[in-house]
Amino acid sequence: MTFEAFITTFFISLRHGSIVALATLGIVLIYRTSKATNFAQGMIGTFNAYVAGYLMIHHGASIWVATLVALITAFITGVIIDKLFIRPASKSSAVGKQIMTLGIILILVGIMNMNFGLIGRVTNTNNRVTRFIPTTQTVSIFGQNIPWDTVFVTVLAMVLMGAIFWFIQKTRWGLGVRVTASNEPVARLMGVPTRTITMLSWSVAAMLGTIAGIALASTQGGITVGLLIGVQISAFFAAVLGGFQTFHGPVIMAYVLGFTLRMSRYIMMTVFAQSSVLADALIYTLVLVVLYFMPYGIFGKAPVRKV
Amino acid sequence: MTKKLKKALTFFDHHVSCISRRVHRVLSSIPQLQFVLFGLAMVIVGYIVYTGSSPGNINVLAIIMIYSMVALGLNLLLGYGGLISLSTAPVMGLAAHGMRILVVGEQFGQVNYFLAIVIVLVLSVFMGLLIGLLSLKMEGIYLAIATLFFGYIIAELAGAFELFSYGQSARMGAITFFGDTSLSWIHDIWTLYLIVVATVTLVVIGLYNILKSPTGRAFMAISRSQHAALAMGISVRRYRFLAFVISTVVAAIGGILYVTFRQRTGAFDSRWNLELSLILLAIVVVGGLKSFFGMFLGAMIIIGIPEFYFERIEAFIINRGWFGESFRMLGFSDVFAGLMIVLAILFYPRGAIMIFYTLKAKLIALKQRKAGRDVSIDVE
Amino acid sequence: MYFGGLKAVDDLSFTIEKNQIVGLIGPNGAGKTTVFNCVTQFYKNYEGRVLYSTEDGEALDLRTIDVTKIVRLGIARTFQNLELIPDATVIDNVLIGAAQDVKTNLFDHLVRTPRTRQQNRELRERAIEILEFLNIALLKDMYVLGLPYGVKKKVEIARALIANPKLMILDEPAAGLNEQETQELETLIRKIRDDYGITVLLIEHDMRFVMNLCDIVCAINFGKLLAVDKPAAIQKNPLVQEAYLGKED
Repeated sequence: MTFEAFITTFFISLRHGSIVALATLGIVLIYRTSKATNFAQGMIGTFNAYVAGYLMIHHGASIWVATLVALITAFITGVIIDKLFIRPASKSSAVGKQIMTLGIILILVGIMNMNFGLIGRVTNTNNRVTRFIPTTQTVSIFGQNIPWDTVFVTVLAMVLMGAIFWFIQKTRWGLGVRVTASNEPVARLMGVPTRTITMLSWSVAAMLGTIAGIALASTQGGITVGLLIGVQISAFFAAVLGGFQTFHGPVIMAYVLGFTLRMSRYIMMTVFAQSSVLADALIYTLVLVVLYFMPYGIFGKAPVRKV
Repeated sequence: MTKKLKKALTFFDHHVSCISRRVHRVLSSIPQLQFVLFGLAMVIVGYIVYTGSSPGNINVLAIIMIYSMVALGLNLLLGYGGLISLSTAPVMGLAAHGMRILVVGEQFGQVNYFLAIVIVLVLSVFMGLLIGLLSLKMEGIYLAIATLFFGYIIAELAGAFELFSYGQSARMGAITFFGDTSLSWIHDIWTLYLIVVATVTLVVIGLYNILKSPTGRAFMAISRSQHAALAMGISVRRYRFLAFVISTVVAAIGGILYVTFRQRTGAFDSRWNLELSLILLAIVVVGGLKSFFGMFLGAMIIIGIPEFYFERIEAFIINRGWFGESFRMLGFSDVFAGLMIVLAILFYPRGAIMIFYTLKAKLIALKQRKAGRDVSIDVE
Repeated sequence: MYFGGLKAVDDLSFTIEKNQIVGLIGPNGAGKTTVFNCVTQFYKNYEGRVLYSTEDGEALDLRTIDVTKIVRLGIARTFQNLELIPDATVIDNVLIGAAQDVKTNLFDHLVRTPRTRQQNRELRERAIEILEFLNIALLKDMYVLGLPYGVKKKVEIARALIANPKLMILDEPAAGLNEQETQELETLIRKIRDDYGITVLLIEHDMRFVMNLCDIVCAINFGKLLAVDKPAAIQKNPLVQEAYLGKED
């Protein structure tokens, strides 16, 4: 592998890692505040990315406007899901909530499949989902032309996540989030507005997923129902590897994983001349083996069971 | 109400309750008989459908039977062991593709149909062992996610190899049983349907036996009173392992039945995907935990209703032109299944089968109020 | 035995003789349940030894035994927070305790061989016998979910009894029971000892119950042994009085 190829792959990997990290943070945020494993994270992002895609393809909106609208719909989606589904089910078990998010996946997939004229042929090559910044504009790093778009997505993701971490660690509301995460009933009794916090975490998670969805769609040029499935799987891998108990662990692992996946794909294709799918399967199998020996993740601890 | 009518009603009521009591007595002495009766009923229903105006619906019936059986296997995990598996559909797909590879024999040479079944079942046990291995170390969400990964890796790998037709659906063709007895989907669909019903009935009886045995009790113990299980010498890990193996084998049997009936393997991205795993889960959740009839009810609701009715609704809506030409009901069946899951968890956490118990309790209450007695009612 | 930096049980040593009823008492947080968990090997990382005399009279260090094998040695226990299967019948819950006696394998269960049926019948009979002994045989086909607390406690005891134990460990058997039920339990535990020849070790907060029932009482506080003695002597022991009532100045 040449140094040039390494630099290019490095930045593509960084971009992909950022996308995965955004989705992962959403999953962990929801898990910590509502004790639900959100399997629908990817699908919620895809759903709202669809809205952006629709505006871009059918109404010629710029990606900025489309993203803004999609973020608003994402916020609303989060509120609706929390109010209608998760809050009423707060008494059911963790498994129940988990299955509920699976139900939400089916509902969202169904709505997208219904083709209410919402989106015609989304993969139409003439009307593409554009990049944030045209790929013609590049910046030279180590002698390689890296698109500004890649830099933008990476920086945006990092700034967003940095802001969220700052918010959680330093502000009063952030304290509320942490308290809710550690013990919801007690937090509620102490006057922390846990309902609002849970609702906001669903909304924020939905928005993070949406940004991830749009960023991924802009590289592919189109949106399909399965847009974020790969990202979602990687995000879960990252969350499990990092351990659900911390906020930083999963995000770090998301970068590691996103990076490893891209790199291994590149190596698999150039060095071994094999399908990139094999690289994915190989890395995922490897992660499963790691998980077998570290079942609660690299940063997580096994919970203490009381007899 | 006239006196005569009242008298007739009491007479009728008396005889119905007499018969039902007698049936009840026989069924409670040999509970397995209820599944045989159910199988016979499905044969009759199937025959009516097959000779009726839309014989194609027999496909839907067969699929519902297969999915109910697989859901019962999944129930062993979810309802008894308290574990989620999201790798059911890929396992089914792998079994279906495996059957085709062995029976068609492009790569490894042809194998007799029955030998192929044995090989695929042995391989599925091996696969169950792999998933079970993960369950030895992980718990809760970590385990659920691990099964998701496992299914994903299977689907990815199948898509990478020519052996599995790159994960696409492929034709298996007519099945040769003994010598020149061959069954094709086009001509012998009725016989194939009978095979499906018979196999499902047998597997369900087997599962019922397991669930009512000490093994079934151990499954319940490991999810509901783990510490008591340990103290009484029930190894939580061993039974969790076992639950995964059994449910994987049942899923594989489902895949074999599917490919035997449809004689096509089905594609990993359009049939054996996460969506089907979710739909099977929906059947378990909606149908209610722990019983085959619950599973059948769930499958009827989740698959039957969309298949039987949504086509008509779709045609109706397209004719009216409400949502434009491109409107498809395809999505609606997913929304329906999703809503059913959500509603079941919110209102009927123990499944739709409980609706019958609620109705029964209401009926008894009504009867007793009519009789003017004020007796408290026991639901069970 | 440590939890994090906390010493839950510290340098505790006592012996239980055969056919005794021994009570373990102490204020809340004294480490009583932790002692039980160490004995039944739920916790393994303790220091010291738990010795158990086997049938051959050998002293066996229980640490070498897996938690699921403890019941085979004849040690069965109940739990402070009821550990029952709510959506199974009483008899099914009791039969959980007979898990070690299940000699049939999965294949037998799958096809319901005559061997399985025979065994199921035998186990059921034994379960019913025990339920009759505990006066709850009438409830055998009821679901545990809606049963009164006192019955649930008895089901726990029945589950331990069906395992044919030599030593039965009861974690707060009388907690939550009313006066009459407590008295019934007292006779019951005595009968368990006399009829089945079972040694009983129990934790209880109800002092009258303990003092009436037990042959030997062992008092602990903050994981440390205060006294092991006959009930009457324990009542007079100044250390025990101090632990319960506080120091008089």
